[in-house]
Parts: sequence; C-alpha cells; structure tokens
Amino acid sequence: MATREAGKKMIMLKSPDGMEFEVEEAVAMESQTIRKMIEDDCADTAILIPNINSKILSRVIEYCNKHVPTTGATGAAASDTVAPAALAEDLKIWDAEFIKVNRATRFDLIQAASYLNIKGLLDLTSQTTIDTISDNSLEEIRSFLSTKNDYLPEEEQTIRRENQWAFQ
Amino acid sequence: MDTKRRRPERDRLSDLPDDIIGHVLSFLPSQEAARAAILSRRWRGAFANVHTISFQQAPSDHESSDDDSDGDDDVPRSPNRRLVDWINNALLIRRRCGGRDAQLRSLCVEMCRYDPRDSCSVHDWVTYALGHGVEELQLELRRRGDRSHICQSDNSSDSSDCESDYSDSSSGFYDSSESDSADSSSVSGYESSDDGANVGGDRAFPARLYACASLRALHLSSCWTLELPSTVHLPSLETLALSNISYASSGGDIQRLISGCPRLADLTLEACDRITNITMPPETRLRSFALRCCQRFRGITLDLSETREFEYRGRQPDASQFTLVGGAPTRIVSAKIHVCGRRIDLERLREFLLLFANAAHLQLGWPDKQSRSDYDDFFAQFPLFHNVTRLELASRCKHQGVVLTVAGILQQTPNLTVLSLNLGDDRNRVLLDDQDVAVDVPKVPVPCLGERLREVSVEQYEGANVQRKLLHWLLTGALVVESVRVVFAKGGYSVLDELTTEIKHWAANPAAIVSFL
Repeated sequence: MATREAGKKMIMLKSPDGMEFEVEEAVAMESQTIRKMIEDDCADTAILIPNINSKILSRVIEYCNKHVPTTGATGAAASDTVAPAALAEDLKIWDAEFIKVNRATRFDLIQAASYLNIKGLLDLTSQTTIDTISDNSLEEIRSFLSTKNDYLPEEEQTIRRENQWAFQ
Repeated sequence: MDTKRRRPERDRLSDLPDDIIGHVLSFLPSQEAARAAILSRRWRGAFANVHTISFQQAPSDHESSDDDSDGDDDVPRSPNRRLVDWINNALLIRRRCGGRDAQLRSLCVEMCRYDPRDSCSVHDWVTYALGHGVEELQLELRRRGDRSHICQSDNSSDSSDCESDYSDSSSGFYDSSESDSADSSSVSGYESSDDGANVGGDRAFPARLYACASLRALHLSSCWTLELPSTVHLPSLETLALSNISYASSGGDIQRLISGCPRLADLTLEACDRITNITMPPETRLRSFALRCCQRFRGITLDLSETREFEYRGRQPDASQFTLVGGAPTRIVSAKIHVCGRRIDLERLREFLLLFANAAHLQLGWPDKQSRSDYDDFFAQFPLFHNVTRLELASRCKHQGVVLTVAGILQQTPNLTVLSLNLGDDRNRVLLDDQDVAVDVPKVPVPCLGERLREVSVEQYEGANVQRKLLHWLLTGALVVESVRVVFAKGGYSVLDELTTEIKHWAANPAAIVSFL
C-alpha cells in the first residue's frame, strides 16, 4: 500500500471487514464523498467505508492512485511535460486493463464508485457494462441480467406501443 | 460465463439505485436506452433517469421516400420527422415516468438536414433542457447541402481540402468587401441551400440559453442566429465551441457571448466567418484554444499563459495576430498547426512556431504548393523543439526535397520518440510516375533517429518514389525503433507485396514490429 512520504498528508480508510488502507489525502479525495468528509472535518482519524469490502476497496484505491493528478518533486505537475493526448492514451490503456474483471466485481465496482462518487470510475464501469450488453437481443440481455420478463402479454404490448419509437 | 455455478446469479444490475441505472443507460444511444423498458417491470421507468440524450443523424439517413407516401397529409412535413419524433418521444417519456425533476445533464442533437419546419421542436428541446439543469448542450443544425468549412480536424486530414475551399470562396469573399450585408449566398457552403429565402436567421435560441447557470459546455454549430439578450451571463460555462455559426450573427455577438463567460477554459472557434477581432476577458486563462478556418480572422487578444493545448488551422498564421497578455505561452504542451493557402510567408510561419517552443506534442501540416527552394530554406532552419516527443506531420510530400524536409525537422526535435507522417489523400493522384527523380538525402545523421525514435507510423502511403526514399531513409536510420505501422492509401496496388517486403527489409532494427493496414 501507499507509503508515507514527506510532506504528504495521509488518510486511513477502513473496510467493514477490518482492513486498513493508508492513502495519500489527494488520492482519497478523488472520491467526492471522502472529499466532502475531509472538508467537513469528519475525518480526523480513520474513515470507515461501509458496504465496500477490502478486495473492492483496494481496487478502488488502485484506480484513484492512477488517476490522481501527479505532482513531481519540483511541485510542477508531471503532466506539464507530457502531452495531454499521450497522457490520456496511457490512462485509457491502463483503464482497459483495470476493468478486465468478472461481472460480479464490476457490479461491486459500480456500487463502490457510486457510493464514493468517483466519476471516472463510475463512467468506466458503466461504459464497460454497456459494451457487454449492447448489440444483444432483448432475450440475451434478459438472460445476461438474469431478469425475468414479468410483464403480462398485454402489458408488454402496451409498453411496446408506448415506446414504439425506440423499436423502429 | 459463470458456467461453473449452478445457481443462477442474481441480477445485480437491477438492484442498483435508479439514478445509477440511469447513469449506466446514459452510455447507450438514447433509442437503445429506451428499449430497456421492455426488459421487466423494474426497468419500465428506467429511461426517466437517463441523464444524457443524444441523437445523431447520419448524412445517409434518407427519409424522403416516406415523405411521398404521406399523400394525405396536407401540410408537408419535415424530412427529419423521424428524428424529431424520436427526440420528442424521449423527452415525453422523461416527463411521463416521473423524470420531471430528474436532471437532464446533456442534450446532444446533430441534424445534418435541418429544416425550418423543425424549428419549433428544436426550440422546445432547448427550453426543456434549460429547465432541467442541463450542463452540456450540443446542437448541430446543419442544412442539407451545407458544406463544412473545415477539413477534418484529426491529423488524417489533408490541407488540400482547406485550400480548395479557400480558393473557391476567396474571390467572392473579398469582393463582397466588409459590408455586413446578410447576403449569405456569397459565402461558399451556403449557396447550395434550397430551403427558401427565410433560412439563415429564421430562428434564434431562447434567450435564457445565455443566462443558464448550470451550463458548463456549449457546442453550437448552427444555421440559427445568435440573438443575444441585453445581458449574457453564463457563470459556469467552461467549454464553448462555435462552429459554422450563421452568417446572420455578427462578430460582435460572438464577442459578447465570449465576454459573458467568466469561467471559460476551453474555446473553439471554427468556420465562423464573422469573426475578425476577438478580445478575451482579461481574467480568462484558457486551458485550450482552437481556431479553425475562420477566414476573416484578423487578431485576438488573449492570455495563453496557462494554456496547454493550442490549435490553429487556416491561412498564414502570424504571431502578431495574437496579442498576448499574461506573458509567453510557455505551458503549451500540445500544438496543432495546419497552414493552408497558396503562398505562405515562411518567415512569419517560423516566428509563429516559436510560440510553441515548449510543446511536447507537435502537429504540423502545410501545403505543397510553393517552390522547393523556399521550403528547403525553411526546414533547414526549423525552430528547435527540445521537448517534443510526439510529432505528427501532414503534407503531401511529393517533391524531391521531402527527405531533407523531414530530416530538417527531426534535426530540431532531439527527444522525439513517436513520429507519424500523413502523406495526404491526393484525389488527383498521378501515380508513381516519378521513378527517375533523384531524391536528396541529408548528409549529416539525425540524432533522434538513431537514438530515440521508438514508433513510426505512415499514413496514405502510395509507394511513390519520393515516399519510398523517405521511408527507406527513416527506417534504415531508426536504430532503436520498436514499432513501424504503414497504412496504404486507398486503391489497388499490383505491387503491394513488393512494397511490404521492401519496407520490412529496410527496418534497421530486426526486433521492430512492422505492421501494415
């Protein structure tokens, strides 16, 4: 995990299964939820992150670590010397690797990103979910989501009529 | 997928809260997102929480045929009625499914066959969005026959597009002097419109668009007029892109719009023929600035001290057109400069390029119309770009001096690691008749070539003699190159195998991966 570096404020994040993660404040503040806690001074010792187990939390921290705007030794942003396009491309490749996880983990990540309010991670997980289900037939999507068509036949007709434009 | 498990996995996506489901569905095209209603009861109202509504009309979407079948309709309907119906329906569902309060974060409508009969609908959509906390509004209302004034904005473009546009329009353009007549037909691109005389300024956006507190990004590409109210105040707007703005909107309106955006960070002005002089508000520090194909552009006063991305596309750029307040533009990391026109004052171009001396990513495109000796002198004294690691060059590179040209540039980019060359799509291609032309090759080695260059990509490669000489020189000199990618120009090549074989042979580094497309 993150090591203490001179001049960098560290924050302790605790998962409900008892694991503790020490992360730089800047990294933790990638989460708008945590940012708000810190700014409201609710975070003097450690922050308990409910509902997110240590496995998922460590992945989330990994994501935030990668996406936090880095600062070099001189204090100037490291991205000053790197073209934004190159930086974005690099992150995109990293993201693509990062999100190669199974479905269950991805849903956990969506929930975590949503609770912690990390826009980039929420967008990444949402987009990946969409990529896996789009271009499939309704039945395939239903089966992928293991959701049952619980409409009565006449109800389904109504829904189809109401949303006719979407099925053109 | 989960074949090992017998127990069917619970549908966890359905367990997510409504707003997250809406967020996930927002990544789908709106029409597909609306289809989710049919999945199950849980999903019936899901669309109400979709915060991004986006419809693009492909230029090939032909609806005219069903127009004709509509004989019983007295009022002729817009050729876009399907698209219009879609968007009306999408907004209707939001209203019906309790989305009354749900934020509509982003509305994106791209119509390439806008018809005046659609104006009420468009007006309604914008009004709806403005009433639902819209943060991003992207409206592209192009009429059929409108031609984009700009060449493609990516690096695959070819400066010849611009050139032909300019040469077509320039005579009529300057003859029409500076009079502000609304006679838009003198401007190329507007003349092919067949929609009648009232088109152009037929509708204006609702006045509250210019006072929307939630709006963060506004992209307008439109034949509608900017009819600004007396006060323009967009306190949250960070991104403003204006493209092909109607000729009926004056440069003064555009200036007033810009002046009403105190937090502006990204500004793009594209094919806005009314723009001559622009003054940015003094407190504005742009993060990115792009000026593309604004044919009457004369000058801008702005602060580039915080700017990281800069793009200029058009005729003869000149450092004196950019009045810099706040110091030198030392933080620009990405500079994209595409010059077109028949004659370029290369000395002034050199001065202009000096503004971007700190760039890490440089994209440069230039026409191939001038005498060779002019270019030889220019590229032999190319400005030094010490930080450049990625270089993209776009030019047709057909003359004998091409290797010297590229070598002259590479000589001044000592830290280059990625080079891409776009040799341009030559529509009047005269193929391969240059076999006998002697191509000059530089006598001194180019340091970055032997020591740093890791990636080379060449697009629109035709295998013409000068191009072969160029690639040969590059690949035999690039000792540490790891990846070479060659994209052939369209067209049949009887000699394709030979071309690929010789390229593989040229690679000085046997470990390099050479790929062809």
